[in-house]
Amino acid sequence: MKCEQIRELLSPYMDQMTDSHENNAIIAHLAACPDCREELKQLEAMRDMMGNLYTPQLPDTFTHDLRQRLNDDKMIILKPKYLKTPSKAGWIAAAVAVVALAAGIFSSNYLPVDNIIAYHEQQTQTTDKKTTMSVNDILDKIKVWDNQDKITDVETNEIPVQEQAPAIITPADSQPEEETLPVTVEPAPEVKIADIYSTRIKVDSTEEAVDKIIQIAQASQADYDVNVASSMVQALSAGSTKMVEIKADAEKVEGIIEELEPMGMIAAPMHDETVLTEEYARALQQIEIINEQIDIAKADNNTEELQKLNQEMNLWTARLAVIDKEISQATIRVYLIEEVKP
Amino acid sequence: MLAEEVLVKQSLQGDTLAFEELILPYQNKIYALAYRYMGNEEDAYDMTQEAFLKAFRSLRTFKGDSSFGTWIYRVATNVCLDELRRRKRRISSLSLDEPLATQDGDLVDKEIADMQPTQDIIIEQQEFAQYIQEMVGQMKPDHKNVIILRDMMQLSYEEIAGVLDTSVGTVKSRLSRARNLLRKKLNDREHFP
Repeated sequence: MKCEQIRELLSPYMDQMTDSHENNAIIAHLAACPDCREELKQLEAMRDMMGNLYTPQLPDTFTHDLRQRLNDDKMIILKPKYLKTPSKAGWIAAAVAVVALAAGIFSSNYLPVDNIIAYHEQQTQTTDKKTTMSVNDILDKIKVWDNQDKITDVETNEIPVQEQAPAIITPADSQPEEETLPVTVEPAPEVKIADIYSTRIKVDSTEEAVDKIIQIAQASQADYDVNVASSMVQALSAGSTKMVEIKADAEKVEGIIEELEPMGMIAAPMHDETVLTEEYARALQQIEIINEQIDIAKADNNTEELQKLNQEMNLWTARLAVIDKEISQATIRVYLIEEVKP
Repeated sequence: MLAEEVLVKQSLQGDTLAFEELILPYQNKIYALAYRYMGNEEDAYDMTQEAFLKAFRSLRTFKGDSSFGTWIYRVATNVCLDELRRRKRRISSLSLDEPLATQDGDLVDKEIADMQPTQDIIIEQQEFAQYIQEMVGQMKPDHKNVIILRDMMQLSYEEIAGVLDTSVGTVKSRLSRARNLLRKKLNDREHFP
């Protein structure tokens, strides 16, 4: 064989991937050809070096980090339905509020995770575009609402929502272990929607503006909460930023917005609708499941498990309460941006 | 691999602990793989997490016609390649961590600083290592894949064919071309003794 042919074979030859016919030809040629011998030597040196490269050790944090992400992945996150443009002509749309509420799921062995995953998969299949929120944003939001509502049920086992909308889902009583088919979720008869409006106002003084907004809110018997704006908005604006969140009955929203306008509104509020039906149903379902497990734990006198289940129950009932609150009222988010004086 | 089958099934039902057990034998290898692709530990770490996360999410697509290890390698390879492609498209200044961006000197210094006091031969190896990393980094995906999977990760030809979803014949020819390209570049730089 000629050198060119041999050289093509040197690579597999080195890995013992040539057949006996090829081997014979190669060995014979190499015996007589120093150039090809040299080339083989180089290939071998290269291979040996590459096989001995420094490889770092996998850091110890790996398992923990991965576990975190695997569990975060099981969080169901709301998908905001996209925006209706305001009817008022001539305004330019400004910042958009990001809304997130999540029904969280504990990475607990006690919850029937096959349900959860199957449900999650169903969601994945039915939607084209999903917006995912940072988990921390979601949890922060819930914290905010928890504080606001001063949910006292957190202390007890009472479930405040039993008189609410009918239980829509009945989880199958016997769940075969192997089952991975999606749970059939019947849509709730009542669609739950949370309305969120958001707008930006440029002001001379955020302090004064906040006071003014509080007055407006109080005049409409609306709840309000003053937050420092999220970092996303901070980044967008040079001066200090404050955010006031108003929760008002749906009929009062237009009136409140009218009153906000003279303050220096940059844009007519963006209207964001979030369909919460599924989340509501899920929360109800989870509560029912946890109840069943609480019964079992009580029968077994398993105090440790009871404790865990109670904790989970509290979280779910809190979430349900949050969703309820979102549904019953509309939210107006007012971002106040202080003019930066040159 | 009956135990593995069971773990896969459990993982499909959302059992994250089962999934952790499933991937345990592959963690270090995948990290090493990612390190070869990305060139630095931080990115390698991120890509490894991404790879396993992706594996968990798309576990349904693992049909069992290949071994789980092969499948994991495939997922990880794709994750790395996707990220590299994404970065190439971005018009941004490359960080010092990316071997492509810097002079040889910077990289060598960094490596030397990280390692223990060296002798000449080790420095030579380090220079070689850096250079190889750079050269491989500049290769087209097809060549990059086979070099990393064969010469660095020491997978068999059959395994590589499985990972890349191609034939052993293709692996043979790609490897031959890739190695020769590398060899020529090394000759240009007079890296061979």
